[in-house]
Amino acid sequence: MNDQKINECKNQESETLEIKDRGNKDPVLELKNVKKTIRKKDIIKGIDLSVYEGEVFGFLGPNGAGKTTTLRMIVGLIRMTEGEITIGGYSVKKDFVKAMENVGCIIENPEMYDYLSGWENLKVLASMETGITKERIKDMVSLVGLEKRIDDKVYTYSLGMKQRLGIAQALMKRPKLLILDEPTNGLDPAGISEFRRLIRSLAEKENLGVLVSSHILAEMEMMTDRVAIIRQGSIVKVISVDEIIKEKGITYRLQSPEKAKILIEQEFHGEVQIKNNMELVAFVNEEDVPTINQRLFSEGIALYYVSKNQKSLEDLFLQLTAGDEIV
Amino acid sequence: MYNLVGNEILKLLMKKRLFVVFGILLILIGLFAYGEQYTRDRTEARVAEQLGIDDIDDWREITNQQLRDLERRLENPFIPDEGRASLEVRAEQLRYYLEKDINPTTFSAGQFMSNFMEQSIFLFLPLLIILLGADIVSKESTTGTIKLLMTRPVPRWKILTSKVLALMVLEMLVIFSMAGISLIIAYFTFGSLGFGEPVITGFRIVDGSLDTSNIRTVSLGVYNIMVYSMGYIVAFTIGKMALMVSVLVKSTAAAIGIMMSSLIGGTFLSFFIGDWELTRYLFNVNLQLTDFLSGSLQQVEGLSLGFSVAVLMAWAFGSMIIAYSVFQYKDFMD
Amino acid sequence: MLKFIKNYLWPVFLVLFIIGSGFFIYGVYYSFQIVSGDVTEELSENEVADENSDEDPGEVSTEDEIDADPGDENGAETPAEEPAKAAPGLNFISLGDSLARGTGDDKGLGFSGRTVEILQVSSEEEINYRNFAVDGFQSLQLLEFFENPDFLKEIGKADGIFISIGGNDLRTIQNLASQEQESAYNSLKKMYLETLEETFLLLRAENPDALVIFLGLYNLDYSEVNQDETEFLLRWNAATNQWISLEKNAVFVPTYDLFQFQLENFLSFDGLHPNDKGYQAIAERIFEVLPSFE
Repeated sequence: MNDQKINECKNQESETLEIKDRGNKDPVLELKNVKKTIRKKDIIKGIDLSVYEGEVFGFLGPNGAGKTTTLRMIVGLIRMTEGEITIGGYSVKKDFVKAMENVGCIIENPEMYDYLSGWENLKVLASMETGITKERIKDMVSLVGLEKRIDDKVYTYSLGMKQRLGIAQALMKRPKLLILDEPTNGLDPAGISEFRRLIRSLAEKENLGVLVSSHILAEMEMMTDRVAIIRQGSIVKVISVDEIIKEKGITYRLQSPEKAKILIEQEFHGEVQIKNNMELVAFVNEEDVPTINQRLFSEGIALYYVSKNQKSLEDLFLQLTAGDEIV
Repeated sequence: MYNLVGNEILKLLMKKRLFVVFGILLILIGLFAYGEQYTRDRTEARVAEQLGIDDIDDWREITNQQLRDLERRLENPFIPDEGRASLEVRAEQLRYYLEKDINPTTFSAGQFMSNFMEQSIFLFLPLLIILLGADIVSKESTTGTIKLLMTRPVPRWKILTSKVLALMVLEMLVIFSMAGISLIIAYFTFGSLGFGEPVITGFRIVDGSLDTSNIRTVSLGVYNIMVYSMGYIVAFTIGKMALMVSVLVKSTAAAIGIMMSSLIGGTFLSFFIGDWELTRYLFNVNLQLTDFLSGSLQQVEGLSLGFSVAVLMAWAFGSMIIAYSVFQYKDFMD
Repeated sequence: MLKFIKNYLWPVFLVLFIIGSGFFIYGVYYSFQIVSGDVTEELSENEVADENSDEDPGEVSTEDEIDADPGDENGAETPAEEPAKAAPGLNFISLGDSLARGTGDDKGLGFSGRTVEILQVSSEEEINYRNFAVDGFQSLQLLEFFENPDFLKEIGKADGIFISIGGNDLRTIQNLASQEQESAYNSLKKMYLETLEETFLLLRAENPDALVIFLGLYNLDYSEVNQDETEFLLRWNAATNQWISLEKNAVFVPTYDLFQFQLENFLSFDGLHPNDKGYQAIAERIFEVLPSFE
């Protein structure tokens, strides 16, 4: 994607994005000192993590760092050697059933029963729990846009459709937590951005906590609120995406950078560094960019372009994981 | 649990494997029935030719004479118990045939049914069960759908139990099919049902030789129920073992291969190391449960119906214990 | 939608399963009953036909079946009942192998029964006849009978005793190679004669006066093919003849010549035993030989 498009997307999203005040809410997912040892080798070395309602939390790391293992431990596919995982207050170890009632997940590839139709798959899975009505399933089907193909056998689905079915399956039970392991694997860019939109709106509207692991840094940046970077079984940094941007800043190419600097610093409380007589770097929130632009325009400052210093997350990532295999 | 088992049954039915089983049964039974009929016709023709008489019509006289001979002998008060019992049951059989006006050499559907199960119980029936059950867990592991099951708010043991129960229902279905298909095909081939015919049973093995002191007759219908019940015991046992292998092994092909080779290999073992004490505890040698009813002697000594059933049940429950333990603590790394 | 499988088939299967389990429990319980020999009820659907319904109401009356203790070897549990007291009249018994049994005879009488039949015609007294022969018996097995005290009582009552034995003994050397046959024959014959002697001792100890009618062997194949076998047969008959004739109150009745040209007519379809005509022929010859009975 080129810079302009990024801008446009960002502007769109900023309009709908509201920063939630988390306050003192309990996390919907909590990992405390979670460890996993296989054959005397510590592959997960004590992870602490919290995900709150309404936030999209990203999980980044190189190959073999332990992303998938951690996610699988959360949903009970792998048993943890030590530590505690609570979902909605319930311990996964001791209260598996109650804990899992609040979780929907897609782990790696969204495999379904090929010989059944999409609808049948959903019904079969729904029948394993209580409280999922036919209407609810229908709603989910329309949410993911599979109405036309829902009665076809799953072996006829494309990867994108299976992905969507996987989401429907995960959301049927109105979970508080959604776990996604590499969900955009194999999707085309249109599919990826659609997916991103869906996840963000779910987090918004249904107040869902989402834990996503991915290796597409650009997507993560746009989709998530916070990010944890994991390396060789430990978390090396947890950082909010806003902070990342703030760290590297937004570049403005315009006339009268000094004038702009004063305006931005005064009205938007962000630091401004002047790079040269045409460019400055402003350390402000993404959401403020449209407003800043309007102000500059109304002050008669001609604007050439605005761009986010794109490589921010990638820089951070590479810096922290130097020497490891890249995802 | 009702829903869970229903789901599993749905999955098992949707796999074409069940229809393959039915297809095999149909073809095999059809061939057996045809073969049986063909052999009988040829034997009859040969016998008639040899004796020079139209044997079929004279069966009444022959049977009458045989019956009289038996009855005369029974009048001897000094015949030992053993001899008496075996004479009496044979006399009973002959009387039945005369009363019902049936030529004792005619072959009935009921006889075909019991023969079929007696011959299939130790190899063919286990094969069918293995085909159905060997991939019940391993396939979901390979295709990844096991993740769907494991991430529901349902404890692992319930998931496995639903699969066990579904398999048990299918085992019963296979037994019913064997009975039903053989009955129908045999009836159309041989023409008579024959469930009232008396069948000699009650043999015992005492000190390695046949003890006929308690033999008696039961009707063929009852005999078939007994024989097919023995079949279910075998189906049940093999099913549980196949399920255990399915939990332990990921590939369906490997699961089937392991089960089949233990089945066949164990039988070979019993041939060659027949007198080793331990061979009697192998499951393979204890599959021939119907031999206890029909009085055929065993290869391995010292078996009795109670012992064999106990050994099979031990294998079945041992398999279940292993399956549940492994399944409960298994990490699905993929 | 194939969800109907879940809604209809599954419950049907469940019902089938329950029904099947019922059959299964019944079948297993039953099998265990049968195998352990607990015969508590009459399970056969057929009623046991009347014992005597197939008999011809002929001129020969056989005594009713008595539940006597069959013998001590098996430790049978049924208590012995006293054989009925000797009925008035003459008592004949038949001992030995299948010929004495009457196998192959439609009327089931055999040569002994038919002889009694003929006697009955000309006798004013009631003749009682009992048959203790057993198919396949050999000389040693006949001797064993004489160890049974109940049986000895029967011997004691008898006025006439038919014996056919030895054919099954002789048949045991049939399949030997010709070199071995001569020595085998000799030792066999020796044993056979010794056994007969011992049998007779026991018999006479119990009943010194009864008339013993001993039947000779006939050949199954009078053609030139099996000359060796025929020779053994003839020597066997000769030895038996010699020995019986030396005993008091005993007569050897040959059948060899009787069957020589009549094999087709006299032999039953199993190719081994006489048929009605054959037995009748033997009976008539015996009748010719017998003395008159008082």
